[in-house]
Amino acid sequence: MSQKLSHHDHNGRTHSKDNHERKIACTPTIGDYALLGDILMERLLGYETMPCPPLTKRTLELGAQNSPDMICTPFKITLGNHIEAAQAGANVFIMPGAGCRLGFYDILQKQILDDLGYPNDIISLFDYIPTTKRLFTAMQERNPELTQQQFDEVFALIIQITVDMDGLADYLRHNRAFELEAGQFESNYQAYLSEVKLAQTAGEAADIGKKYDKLLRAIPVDKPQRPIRIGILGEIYVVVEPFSNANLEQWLMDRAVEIDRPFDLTRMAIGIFNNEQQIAESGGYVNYNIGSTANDVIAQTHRMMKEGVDGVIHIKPASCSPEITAMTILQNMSQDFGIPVMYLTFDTETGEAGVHTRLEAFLDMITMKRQSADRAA
Amino acid sequence: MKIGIPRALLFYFYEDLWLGFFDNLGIETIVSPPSNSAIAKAGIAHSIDEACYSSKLFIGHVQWLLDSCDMVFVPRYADSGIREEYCTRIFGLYDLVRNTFPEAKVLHAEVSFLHRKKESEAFVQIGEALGFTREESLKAYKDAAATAQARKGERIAAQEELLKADGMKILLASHAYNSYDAVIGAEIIDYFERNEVKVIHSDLINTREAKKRAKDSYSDRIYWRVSSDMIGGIDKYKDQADGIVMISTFPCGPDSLFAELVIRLVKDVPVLSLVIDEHDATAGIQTRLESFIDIIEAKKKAKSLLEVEVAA
Repeated sequence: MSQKLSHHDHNGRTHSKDNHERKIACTPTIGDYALLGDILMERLLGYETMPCPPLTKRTLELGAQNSPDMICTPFKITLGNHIEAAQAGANVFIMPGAGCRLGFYDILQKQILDDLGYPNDIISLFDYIPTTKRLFTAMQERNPELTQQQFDEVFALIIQITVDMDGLADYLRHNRAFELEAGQFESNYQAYLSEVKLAQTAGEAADIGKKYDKLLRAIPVDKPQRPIRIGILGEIYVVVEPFSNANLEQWLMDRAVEIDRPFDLTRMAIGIFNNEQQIAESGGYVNYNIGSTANDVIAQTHRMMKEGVDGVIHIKPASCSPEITAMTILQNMSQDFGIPVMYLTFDTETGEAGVHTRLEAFLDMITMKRQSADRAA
Repeated sequence: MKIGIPRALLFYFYEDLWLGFFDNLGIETIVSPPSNSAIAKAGIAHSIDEACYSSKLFIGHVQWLLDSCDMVFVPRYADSGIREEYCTRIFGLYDLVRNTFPEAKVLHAEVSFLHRKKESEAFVQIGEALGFTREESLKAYKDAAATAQARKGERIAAQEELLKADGMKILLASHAYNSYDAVIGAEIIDYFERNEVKVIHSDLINTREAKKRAKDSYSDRIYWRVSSDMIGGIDKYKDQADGIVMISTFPCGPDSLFAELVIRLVKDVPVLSLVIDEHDATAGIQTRLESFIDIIEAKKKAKSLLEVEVAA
């Protein structure tokens, strides 16, 4: 990459790389996806990147203190990320810039960081309707020397990694609870992440993905014919970020539960263009787009219930509007199919212990339900 | 055939159009009464706890109508143009009503500029569902739309007149379905009128003008109609107001972002932000309105003292 990289800051001024203002980019924590942001920043803009300070109680406190009360929880958590990262020297942040309220996070977060006295550039990757063209423009505004070809190569790499990591993680959720030797799945998955981070091309990333797919599938498991299977659905941030959901997948897998959690970045990216199909697959419960991923929540719950899942856990951040609409519909589906749905709302005050107590009661209930169904059969 | 229309949410945007359309076709309509505690209670009982108060009221109005009409009118408005989307609470209403009251007969059609579902076509569809021809329906729609537009123009002009009057003026910044609802904004408006304060409404603005103002002065990326309407209205009227009272219902998605942005960016006019939920007692709000008026009067006094000093 060129050494004489130059870019515009948010006021439109041009700086050269050797300017005193060093660009240090930090992607907020969202599951394992921060590495995608790092690749964008490093390879398309030539920025330094720093890992986001780990999510802690303090992150939540900082985020909540500086956010409007009524805002949804992921805003508060990612603002906490930005503040802690800014305190550690970061000055460039990334937000999607499209979606529900998520599409506006960067506008208000930038203002809040400005008011707190942290100079910052928040890059909104998309705008309104997500397109690769807009992403290219957002990158080129900051690095005028970026060519379409460079962009295409890095974009292909990011897609490849996203699809592979989501595929591997999905296999993990279906099998990790039954591994014979504890920790094998996780250590292999972590090894995949650190190796794929260094891939230079989509082809290289694909090879690494294939290698680890084989390794994961070779891990010995003792999976019963019909394990207890729980579907996890809801708003994408709390679904993919374990810290924000009291680590509920881990908790369930530790108790020999198979997890059906179809939501990840891959599914979300495809889902944006798939609304009609989601409505068609909703079993007649929904006629129209009800916002964000809520239609997919309905479609996927419908699939799971038809497949005979033992229970469904619907999770969302406090005040998540589309998911509140989805809840009314899920209540009807639960009643019609006779399959229990538990609803969990997470905010910055949610304690792990309370969530785990509720999970325990839910798991007991569906286990007993299964046992009595088996006896009857 | 009697069509029930809930007096909530989009009714406050489209009252003249909807009522005019059915009236032009000679169809009898019944509009639910202004919100009251029984309607609020029913709405709360039939809603998910975490839903916003305005949408709970909507559900309460639908419930009120169930026994008083043959069909409830819940059109699905997704947007009114590019970057004029409604929030998910609003565009999910049809599916919400159908899943909340599975027995209810609901008259609906889709309006979405972005998905090429024109408002005129939606009303043709509704007219045809009621047994009218395409031509009859289209004419009923066009006449109603023209009347609705003229009435909005009149209301905006009336507000322009009000702005010329002397005395303290407060800009009530909210969505029309909050400002004019009997259990949300009405008491606040009453309070000001009792105290001889004139109330300016942020929603009395042309949507295109509001969008342009919001874009030029605040952000070019807003894609919610209710937000650009409110911000555009604030931008248009704030300099002629002595203070801004913002009303949100708890928990409002669009307001959680843009009310906050307004509070952070509007520095020259005092802003009072009120969040109303189903547990609110009027007494608490009155106290806050009283002290807000006191602040404005104190500020005015200080300013006129300063002007006297400068003049001397």
